[in-house]
Amino acid sequence: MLLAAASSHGQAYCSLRDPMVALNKAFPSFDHHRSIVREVSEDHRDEILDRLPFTIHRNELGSHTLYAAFDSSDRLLGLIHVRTERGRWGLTEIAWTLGPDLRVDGFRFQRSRESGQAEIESETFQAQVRGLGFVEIRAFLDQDGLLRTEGGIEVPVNARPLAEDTLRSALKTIAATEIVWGRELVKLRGPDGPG
Amino acid sequence: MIVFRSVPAVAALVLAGSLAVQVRASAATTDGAEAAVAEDLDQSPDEELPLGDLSGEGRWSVLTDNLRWALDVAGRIDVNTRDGSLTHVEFVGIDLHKVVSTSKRDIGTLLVQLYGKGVDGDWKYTTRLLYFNYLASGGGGFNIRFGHILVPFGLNLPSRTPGTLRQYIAGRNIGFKADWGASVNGVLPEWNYEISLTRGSGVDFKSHDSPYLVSGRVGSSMERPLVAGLSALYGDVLGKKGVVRKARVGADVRWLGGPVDVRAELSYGRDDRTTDVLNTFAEVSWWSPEELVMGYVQGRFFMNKPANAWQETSYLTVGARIHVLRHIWLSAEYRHGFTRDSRAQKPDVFRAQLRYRFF
Repeated sequence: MLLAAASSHGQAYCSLRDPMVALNKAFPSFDHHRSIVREVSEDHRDEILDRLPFTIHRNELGSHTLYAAFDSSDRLLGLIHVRTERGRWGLTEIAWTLGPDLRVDGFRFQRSRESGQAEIESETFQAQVRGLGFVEIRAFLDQDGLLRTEGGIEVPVNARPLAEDTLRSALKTIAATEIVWGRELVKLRGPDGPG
Repeated sequence: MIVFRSVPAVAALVLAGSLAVQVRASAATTDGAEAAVAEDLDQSPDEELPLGDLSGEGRWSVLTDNLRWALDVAGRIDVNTRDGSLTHVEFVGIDLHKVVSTSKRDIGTLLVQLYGKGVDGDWKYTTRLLYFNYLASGGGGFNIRFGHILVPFGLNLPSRTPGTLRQYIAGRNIGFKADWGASVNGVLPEWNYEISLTRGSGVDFKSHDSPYLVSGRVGSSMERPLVAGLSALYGDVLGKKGVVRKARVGADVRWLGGPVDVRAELSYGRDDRTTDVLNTFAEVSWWSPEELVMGYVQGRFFMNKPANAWQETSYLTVGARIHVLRHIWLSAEYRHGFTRDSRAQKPDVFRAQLRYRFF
């Protein structure tokens, strides 16, 4: 996540940035947003690990931010959750857009050194994950958390490593959002939102 | 030093002001929606959320909500390789980042970096950065930043170098990285910009000789592997020898490719309307996959033309930074200077820093 990246660089907090581009791209009609910083604890990590077919690094503990986007009537349009993932050539920042029901609306790379970025950001790939929740995305990976070779998501060979990282990131994002920000989500959604 | 004594007061004012904005905004929100919120909490009493709520346990959320802070401690040595002399510098400070919000809306971001700096045992207070960035438009396209802000010029934005050995050439172009004043800034889908009007005195707010500085940078989105920007600045900058009229235009570029980053900056202008100045900088850095280890090579090439002939100075710097433990970073760099005039040859410098950030 964004802070984890800043922390691991030893950088000061002035290097933190809001995902304004992601907000504008994901929600062209959004009127304002609200940041919600929460601490991802060891207990949260254990809960998240219980749901994942792979491990997550202890560096992912600490303060992280969920961004909620609203329209002018204060209706929740969706969420932005930026995660920093270990890539083959360095850290990759992915800004995930989730609907109020925690299904994927899309994603953008905020920072990446990896090859295959264009293929993974393409509409062809995004269309395959849009609208999916944790269970459906989990089905693209095998029991070891690796990309299924058959019957899984369609992606060019050169972009398969980044596709695997991206799908893992999606699972972590959904699980972490639900576990760490679950109470806030209830309030953000309001009485008529998804349960 | 009146200036020094006034800085904490300014900091307190900025902090108090931003919190007051939040209190008022939160109060307004809770006035209107109090019944609905209370009803909601009655239905799910374990769902108390510090979303700008001033009642009950949420009272302290005004201060603690969306707050990050870190204790930042660093020890640095500079070794002059010609005579072996050694300077040691210590920093102890607080790095605080708070998003000021109402229950449904971010109002802005408060950043506080207040440090004590000791040079060979002589300590003084320094304000590294201290600003509030007000979100004037909800979409982030128009914000107003005020306080002790980074001067928007070249690679000085975005912030990447506070407290690190690794630096670019803001000092050469401007004389400092941060100044007291205000800016308008924004992040658009494909572009970002910042234009500032500042005091022109750098770390300390000083008004004698009436310094000022107007500067600005427009660049492509920071989210792409290739980023380019154009900058300009103009003003009377207060330095150790008095005010210098500075005028610059510049271009910067950064590129991320595989494990390598490339950064470069070129600027041209005049000092005191008489001295032509051309400053160039290029850096290649290598990063390990988790970015725990980073190495870099920097080249600096400076040209001044005070009269009829150009004077050239260049430096080659090699450095590295290692993330030793979760909160500890070790950095070192070696700088060699080149000049055609052997009498003006500056000694090589070796620098090392151990930094601890508790967050």
